Amino acid sequence: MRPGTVVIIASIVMGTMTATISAGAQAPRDSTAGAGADSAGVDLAAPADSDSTLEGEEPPDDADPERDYEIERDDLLAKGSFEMGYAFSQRAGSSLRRRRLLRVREPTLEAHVRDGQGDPLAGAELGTRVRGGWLATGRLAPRWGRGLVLGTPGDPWRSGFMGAAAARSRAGAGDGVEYRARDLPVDLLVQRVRRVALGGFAVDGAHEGAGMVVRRDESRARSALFSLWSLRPNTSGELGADSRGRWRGEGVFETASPPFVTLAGRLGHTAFDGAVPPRTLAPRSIVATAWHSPPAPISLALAASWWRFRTAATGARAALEVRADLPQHDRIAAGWEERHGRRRVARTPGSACDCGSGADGFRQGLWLEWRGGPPGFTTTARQEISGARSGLRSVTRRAASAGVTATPVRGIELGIASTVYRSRSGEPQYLSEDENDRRVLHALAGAGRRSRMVLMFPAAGGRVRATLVLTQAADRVTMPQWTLDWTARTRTR
Amino acid sequence: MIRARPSRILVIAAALAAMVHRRACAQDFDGPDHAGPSVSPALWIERGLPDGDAGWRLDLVGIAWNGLEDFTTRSLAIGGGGGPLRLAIGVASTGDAEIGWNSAAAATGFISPRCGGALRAIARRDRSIPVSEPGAGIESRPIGIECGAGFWSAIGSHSRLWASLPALYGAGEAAPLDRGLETGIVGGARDVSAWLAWSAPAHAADQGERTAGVEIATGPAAIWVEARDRPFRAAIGVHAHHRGFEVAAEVTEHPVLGETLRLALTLERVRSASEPER
Repeated sequence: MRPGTVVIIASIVMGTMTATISAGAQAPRDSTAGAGADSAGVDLAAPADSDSTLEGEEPPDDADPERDYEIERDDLLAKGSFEMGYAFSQRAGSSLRRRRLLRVREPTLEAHVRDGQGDPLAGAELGTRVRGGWLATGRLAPRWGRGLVLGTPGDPWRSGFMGAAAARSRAGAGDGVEYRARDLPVDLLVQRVRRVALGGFAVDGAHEGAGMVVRRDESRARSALFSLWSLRPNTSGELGADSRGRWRGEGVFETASPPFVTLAGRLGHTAFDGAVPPRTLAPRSIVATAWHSPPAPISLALAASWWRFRTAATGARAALEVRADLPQHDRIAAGWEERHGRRRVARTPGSACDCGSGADGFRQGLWLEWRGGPPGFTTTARQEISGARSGLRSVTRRAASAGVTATPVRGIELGIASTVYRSRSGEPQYLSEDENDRRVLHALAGAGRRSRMVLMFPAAGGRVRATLVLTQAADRVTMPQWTLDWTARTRTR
Repeated sequence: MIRARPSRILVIAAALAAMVHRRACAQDFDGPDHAGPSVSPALWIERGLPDGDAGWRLDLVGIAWNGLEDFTTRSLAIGGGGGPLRLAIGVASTGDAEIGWNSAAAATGFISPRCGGALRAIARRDRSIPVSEPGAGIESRPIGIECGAGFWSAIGSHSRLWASLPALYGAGEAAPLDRGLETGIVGGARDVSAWLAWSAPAHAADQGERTAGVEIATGPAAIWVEARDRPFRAAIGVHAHHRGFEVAAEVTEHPVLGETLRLALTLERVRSASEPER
């Protein structure tokens, strides 16, 4: 069957799809959702994700801290295959909700379509081979270099800051069209992000690149920004400037052999903004360093960073993580973190202010995590505490979790996980839970318990994932929510 | 589930409230044993953490709570299994006809050398009929249901990590205790084992209590001591085993509530590891 036919048939099957055409099939997307969005529980007991940060996942700082945050899973579809999915879910007291998914990945066509009432990831992405290159349309999340000019820059209070991976923030995502030439390192882009229109041109080589983007904001004022970047395995850097002469530069250097030391820095004008100003200001100056031991049975990692938004708004963070890899893939990890100062400096339209949030100030945190168990019986347990005073006093967040995933028969998986939590207002405890096509960071506020039971089994040529989530909040009323999700992958050739 | 004379209600309610921070588990089958996985069917039901060889065990448990003469728990549990599967059922009665409830419970799970786990369910019904409004019909006795689970996993050859989630779901009349989560680790060598545990009610994660204990076994007998915080208190227990017959006792001293005494009498027919399974 031709890929185009597959898409057309699937679109008809999926009916009144209100998706906006979008593209960047490779670009990770994310978005926010209300707490009532479809969700299923914790993959606490899932095999350890080597990229997961042990201090817990949190949504980007420009996300609403009172709401759940949904992220597209980094689950690349194999070439020459397509995937379909249907999901039904219901929360106590609300109506049945339906979600549909279609993904196609062919040499000449890539499509990613999601549809569903209230689904924050609903939409479509389409990429196709055209004369001389590749054309992507729809919602794009491009990133040049380290995201200073196009994309979103990293936050120095997060573990992933040193890496070159794209930040998860949705601040730089929006509908647009992108053309990448096949034989030339040329990239053309037209995009609209939160009422800001962008037109960009880049020359992007294997490691180095340069680009220019013209921005037109709400007031129809035009400005141009320029970027020069380099992304290599152990070094990365970017220098960005705008047409008024303001600039910002950022660089990261990592040693390739022991001792594994990473140094990073950012410097520039306070008033410099990227092509799409993020909702919260990015620090103007950063100094960061990290060290980690070789991945021996016991490994140690240290990180420290200091940042400044402007003279009176600064912050610092230090973290220590110890990880012990035991036989049979078991792992024990413990970490400590201390943070001072500001993380969020909010922006008001047209001007910036020094509005801090309740989550700023001194914080000290400690966590302990276990993952392991024999094959077919993976267990996880985690303890986490954060306080506003030294010695973990004035507890702001406290959570304890335990989970198990059992595979009694090949193809059938049963998982149970539960978390008890208490968190201060404005500082929710985030619980990362995987679903078939997304990861949901649930914002747990107040005190209570969230339990999740998952059953996965093969059915109708695909895989069914049945989930029951029981949330018991402070009023001790149990709110059940169930999800039935069917997904099938098929090769087209 | 408690409806009777106000003065007694207050006394027992205070005792139950204090026990909330004692352990993240129910009290109907909370026999004498150290924290973590247990060979006792009563504790399979209680914690969802089965342990032990194949065979059958019958537990008779009696608990005198916090020095309250009228407030005791009597329970009977039988359990066992073959191969990796385990099953336990039990009945219990707590309090008296005025203030108390009856319980029926079951647990089913599995054991392997490196892991184990069980699902548990318990139904409780008040022993007294609630006081109704004048002229109203006779009310039925309140019923509550609670379901949970537990699991443990070996760490190396001498340690185990466990988690007990005894009340994942509840319906009907609220359970007497707010049971959240208990996690712990136990390790040892030869005849000495020690454990650390943390437990908290579902709605007070920041009020979790920590437990530390040690057990010394010698021949057919063992003795253990356990300390807990919030408030600081201690427990001491012993058990002795002889030809399919086992007795165990544990005393817990609470600085405010007084002394809790747990007794258990066990009859067992356990197949040793060397005995072939029929």
